[in-house]
Parts: sequence; C-alpha cells; structure tokens
Amino acid sequence: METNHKDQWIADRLATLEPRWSPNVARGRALLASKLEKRNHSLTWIAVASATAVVCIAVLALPATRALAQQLWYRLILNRIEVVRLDLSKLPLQMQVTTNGLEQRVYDMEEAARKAGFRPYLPAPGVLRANPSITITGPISVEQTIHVRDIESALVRVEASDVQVPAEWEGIQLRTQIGPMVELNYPGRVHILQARPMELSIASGFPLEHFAEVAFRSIGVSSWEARAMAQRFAANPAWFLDIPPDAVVNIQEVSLQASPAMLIEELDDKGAVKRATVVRSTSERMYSVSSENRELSMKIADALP
Amino acid sequence: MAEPREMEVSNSEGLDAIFRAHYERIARVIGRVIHDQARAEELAVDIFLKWWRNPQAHGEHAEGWLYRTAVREALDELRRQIRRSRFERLFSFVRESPKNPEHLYAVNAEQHRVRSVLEALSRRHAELLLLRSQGFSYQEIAVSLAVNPDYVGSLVKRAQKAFQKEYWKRYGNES
Repeated sequence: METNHKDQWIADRLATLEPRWSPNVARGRALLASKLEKRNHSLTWIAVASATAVVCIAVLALPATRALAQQLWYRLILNRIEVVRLDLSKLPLQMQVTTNGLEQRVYDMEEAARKAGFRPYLPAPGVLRANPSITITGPISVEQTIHVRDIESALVRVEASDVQVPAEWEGIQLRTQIGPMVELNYPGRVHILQARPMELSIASGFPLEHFAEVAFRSIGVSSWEARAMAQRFAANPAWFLDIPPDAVVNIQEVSLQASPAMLIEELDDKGAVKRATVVRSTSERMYSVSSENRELSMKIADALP
Repeated sequence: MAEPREMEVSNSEGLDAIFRAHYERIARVIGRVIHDQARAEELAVDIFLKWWRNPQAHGEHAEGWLYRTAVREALDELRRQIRRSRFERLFSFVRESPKNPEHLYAVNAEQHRVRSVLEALSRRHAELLLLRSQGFSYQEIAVSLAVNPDYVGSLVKRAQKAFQKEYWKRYGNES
C-alpha cells in the first residue's frame, strides 16, 4: 500500500469514530456544578450515614421482610462450573448489582494478594515468559429478589402452565458474592482471570431445588431438563456459566492433567477460532484462561495449581 | 489551541472559563473512544474536576494536561468496557441492561473493529492516533502528550503503522 493511500486508509478507519452527537455544554456545566456541590457536601453525608443505618434497620423490621430478616443466612460455595446454553439474563428476578467500583491496577503479586484477599497463582515457570500486568476487580455483590408475579408472568409467556409459584417466596432474596477477581494480562492478548469460588447466600430453609426448577422453567427449559438441572444444583451447587443459544461458539469438556475443564471457542463469521477460553475450578479457585489459541489456553490452564 | 492561554485558576469563574473553552473538544475526543454520549460527557466533566483539584496541572501546561488526561481516561474506559464485557460473559449473574437501539446502531462493525484495534495498541500509539484524527496539529499533539514537536511526525507514522499491522492481523487487509 502506498504511503498516501495508507494514510488515507487509516484516516478513513479513524473517521468512523467521529461522534454522531454534539457535546451538550449546558448539560456538562450543570453536571460539573452538581459534582462540585456534592463534593462540598461530602462531610454532611458522613453525619447523615448513622441516621441512614437506623432507617435500614427499620426497613428490615417491616412485616413483609421480618420473617426473612429473622432467618439465618445459609451460604453455598459455588465451586463447580456447569455450562448451559441458556440466557440466564432472562430470569425474571429483580436484580441489584453493587460493587465497590474498584478496578485497579496493581504493581506486583504482593499488592494483588493484599488487595484481593487471596494469593493469586501464576502458571508454572516456563509456560509464559513475560511478566503480566495485574488488575483487581470487585468484589461484586448481586442481590436477586423474587417477585412471584414476575415469575408467573414469565411462566405464562413460555406456556409452562403446570408450574405453581408458592406465594411465600415473595420478597425472598438470593445474594451472590463474586470476587474480588484478579486478572493477569500478558502480551498477545493472553488473560488469566481468577477468583475464589462464588458464594450464594439464601435464607435457611428456602427450597433451593424447587426454586431452581421453577426458575429454569420460567426461561423455557423443558420440565424434565429443569428438574434434572435443579437436582444437580441442589446436590452439588454450581455456578451456571450461561452461553446464549445464538452465540457462535464451540463448547467441549477437555481433560487436563490438573482437572477436567470446559473449553469455549468463540468463532468468527468464517468459523475460525477468535478466542479460546478454558474455564476450570478447584475447591478454592475458579480460573478462566483465554487467548487466541486453543492449545495455549489449555497449556496455561493446566499449568495453574 | 483555544483560549484562554493563561489558566491560573483559583476560583470557580476560572474553572468556568476553561470549561467553556475546552469542554466541547474534550468531550469529542472522548466520544471517539466511548460511543455513549452520556458517559463521554460525564468523563469529560470528571477531567475538569480532576484538573481543578490538582493545582500542579494549572498554569501554562493546563491545556496539555487536560487533553492528555482526557485521551488516557477514554482509553482506560475503553479497556474497562472490554474487560467488563469479558467478565459479564463469564460471570453470568452480572449483566448489562438490555442495549438500546441507539447503542445497537452506534456499535457498527467498523467502529467496533477500530476501537478493538486501538485497545490493543500501546497507549502512546492510541493517544497519537486519536488526537491526530480529532484534527490536532503536530504542535498541539506535542503539547498534549509532552513530546518534542520535532518527533511528532515520525511518532504518528509509527502509530499508523502499528494500527495498520494490528488491524490487518485481526481482520485481514481486504478493506
């Protein structure tokens, strides 16, 4: 490609990024003013915080939530991974995600361990030669609240008329704690993500197996399949890694020396592998290793403890 | 680069002046990387707040500081978005809200490719390309990125070469 043509070609590519909107200066100025104001009032908020805590306790004591508040929370460790060709984002649950907003770069493994609360593992020596850049994300808390009417509506949509949703489930919450997650980024777009197993907290006595079955039915899973998945889940809680049915991927279980794992290959329009991700778990760690090469991803995943 | 040249600011009037002089251009620079207007504008506002709280950035180097910080924040945000999308795929409980039609429209294939390539380049190369494509002169780029003006031309060439190489590696050279 000649230089002028090359310059033009690059200019054309970059020109596609030109925003199709014009900045709204008045709105920006108002936002700036509001952020300045917020900062000035930050000390006031500290004083208000104690009053807020009282309000929270009062909310928990309201009749609708009192029974839940009085129950002990039962904690499940999700250290098994089950890949499902479903879109779990369609689950009819009210979801609230909170994070401490941290996604921070750290400079060495010591700092990573301190900030993540666990010691991240590196692949065995010789597998990857470069030093990774390290980032920490999370923890992320996900609170899902059951609203009986929402589930009933979803069941109607998928014509699952045989399923009943117990009225006492209304307002029940499921809490999931994810991370902190440590990501090691190597040259060549090689990424190793690791975290402790997720924790799912539910009110003690809540019929999780029954709920899981109803939840799967509400997104269109067949009766027998929903029951089987729910039973597996109750017997050995798993993190369901959902891959929507329309995603163009190859999924297969692979045997590594370390443990069984799932290989997920993302394919491009021509069917070539764009990225290969190996997901595996141990009793104390979940790993996701991705690169542009299947063998490399498997080799790295196998080289982690 | 735009007025005011002197950017000694100790009060909100001064902040207002520099905001009016540079906000639009800074928001557009960020908007090249972050397609979402609301998020781009929010990031742009945050740049001015950071600048205002950082007296060392005031004075004659203020313009450079503002544009340098803007392009870096935008690239960091792009990387966060790409990383977040990976997390979201992997951690299925955490999902973005459904994308709106505007979003779906904005993320056309070519934009996506170009952003992916920028994300993969070194930060310096991406900064150079973004500022250049936004119409910055070599002199303005030199001020913004604190580099010798005599070298900007060759730095831009190198960045272009890296861009082309990465683009072809990912998507072929048919286009």
